[in-house]
Amino acid sequence: MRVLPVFVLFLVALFWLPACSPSDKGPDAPGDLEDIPYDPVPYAIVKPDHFPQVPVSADNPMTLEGVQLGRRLFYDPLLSRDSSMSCATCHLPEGSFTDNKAVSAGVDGIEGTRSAMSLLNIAYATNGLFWDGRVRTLEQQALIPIEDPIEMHHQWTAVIEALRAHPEYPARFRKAFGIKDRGDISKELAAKAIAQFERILISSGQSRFDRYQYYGELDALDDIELDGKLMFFDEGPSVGINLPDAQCFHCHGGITLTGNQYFNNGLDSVTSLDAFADPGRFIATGNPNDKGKFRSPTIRNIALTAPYMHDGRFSTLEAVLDHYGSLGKPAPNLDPLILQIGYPIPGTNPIRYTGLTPYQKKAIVRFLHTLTDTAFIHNPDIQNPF
Amino acid sequence: MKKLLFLSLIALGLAACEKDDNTGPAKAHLDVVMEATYDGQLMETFKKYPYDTYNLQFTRFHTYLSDIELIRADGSAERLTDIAFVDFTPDNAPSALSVRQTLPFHGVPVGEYTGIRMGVGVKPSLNAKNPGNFPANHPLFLENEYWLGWKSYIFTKVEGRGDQDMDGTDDYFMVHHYGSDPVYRTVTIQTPIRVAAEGASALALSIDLRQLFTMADGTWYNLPANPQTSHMMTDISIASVVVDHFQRAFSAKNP
Repeated sequence: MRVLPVFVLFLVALFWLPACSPSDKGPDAPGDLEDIPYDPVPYAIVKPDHFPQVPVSADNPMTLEGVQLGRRLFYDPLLSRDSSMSCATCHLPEGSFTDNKAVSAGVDGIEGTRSAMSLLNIAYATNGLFWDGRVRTLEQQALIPIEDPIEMHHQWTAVIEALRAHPEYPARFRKAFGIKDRGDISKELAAKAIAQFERILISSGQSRFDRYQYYGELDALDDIELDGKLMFFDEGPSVGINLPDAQCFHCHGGITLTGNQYFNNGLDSVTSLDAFADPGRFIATGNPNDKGKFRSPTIRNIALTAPYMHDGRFSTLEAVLDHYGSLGKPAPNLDPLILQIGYPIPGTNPIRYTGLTPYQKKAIVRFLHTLTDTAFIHNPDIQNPF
Repeated sequence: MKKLLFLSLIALGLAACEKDDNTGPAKAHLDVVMEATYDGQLMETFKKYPYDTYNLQFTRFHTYLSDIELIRADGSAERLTDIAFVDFTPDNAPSALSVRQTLPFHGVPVGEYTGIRMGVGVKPSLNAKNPGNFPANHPLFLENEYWLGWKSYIFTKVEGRGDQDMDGTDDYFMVHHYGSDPVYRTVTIQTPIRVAAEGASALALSIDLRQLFTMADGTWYNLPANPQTSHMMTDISIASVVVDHFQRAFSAKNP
């Protein structure tokens, strides 16, 4: 009669004791992370009051642990084949998350054909990412540079292997996503974490433009900068000031100053759509009329993100304004707004436009500098954690 | 005994639910399918259309619609939505053909309607707001459709280019953006609409760009002389002429 309780005790010990001592499990054992608490803290993205609600993926809710993990992955060269590059190599805070190069070189020294885009307010880019918009979400985007031969030129299988063997990452994945063992670490979770970090790259709302436009500090812009603003937003005529329309806001509008749409902004003179060196948006849509079109980036912090355009062809904002001020170059799908910059020329039929004078271009460049948001680039929450 | 009482309560509850379901009008699904046409044919971007004595191509066309309502014979209305954004030339269009856009409406009372009514543009109560007031999946979140200078949404964009002397080179570029409360217009399309109890019902509507740029006397709107809408809030002369044609440009099509 006394054998049964002893047997029961034995069974309890058999099943219960191992569960209470997961630290005894080997690193590759199932459930090796289960003793680490999984209690994620919801992360409230900080944004200026006048900014729209930050879009967040329903299947990737923001957590403090997810953002922290994503931040480490973003800055960790472990993600590249020779551990020489991280995401931050091409997206540095001081360049408003660009690398200030015309085109970036990967781990093999091979240069790409496009300039690294600013990640400022990238959470709002809901109409495609990259210059051609070929992926729709930050989670999808984060998967690509790791294996791109002209970027980090690694393999996700090797990255995941390194993350699983790492002394810190398995616990961080556990805390962020509740995985039970390091074998659950996946590229999809890594991408989710990076995406969470990228979603906090939001303007501070403290640029001089913000102070003028949204906080009523009318002395935040001087007269020349104000002239530039009026031309940028085509506001001159509407407030009775004789300034021409520069048409900028049509592609760089709204509160984040980007509409995330795709345009041919007249960079190259072509007579055929097939003549574009870079097919641009066509890569994503297959629509021939999209050849030579690229996503309009945010203009916030534009003074920090030189050089400009998808291929970094313009070194300065002055060169950019020279381009637009001279009404661009002809192409079958040139955006019509490019040709309507300046004043209408009287007596022309069809109506022609003057382009911009040196003063007008200077005023717009001065205005663009008022969009600089140094509080953002110095935000301690987005700096390199290593 | 207790079990019997418990089962009786459940039965009563179920009966009450069933009764509630039967008291309201039956509801069903209605798709409003919208397309952009030119002279009755599905509009194609970058296609040269005859316009006056020359050719015209369209490159962009989208519009906001407010207060879309079905109208009953007694004059009462059934609101389908407060706001919708209909983009016939979206960035992800796979070809030059303009894209038919479907506005799906659930829970529409089953029945017969005599027409559909909607505002073309953003109604004033919503136009007083800006993209910062709306979540990311809302039509009014679209930043490129908001004009800070006028503190107004751009209700409708029609862009294109014309070859006035027919030499193969485009001579003028049309950028017609209509916005601000004074150019908000309401259109009514009288057409029998049946929302059936079973299956999904559909209503096909088109907006014809030729009609939009045809004057009341049948002449062509002078686009080469007015390629761009004014940015003076006091000058809505171009916009107000064209938006008055929306009523004529809308039509119902047999699904």
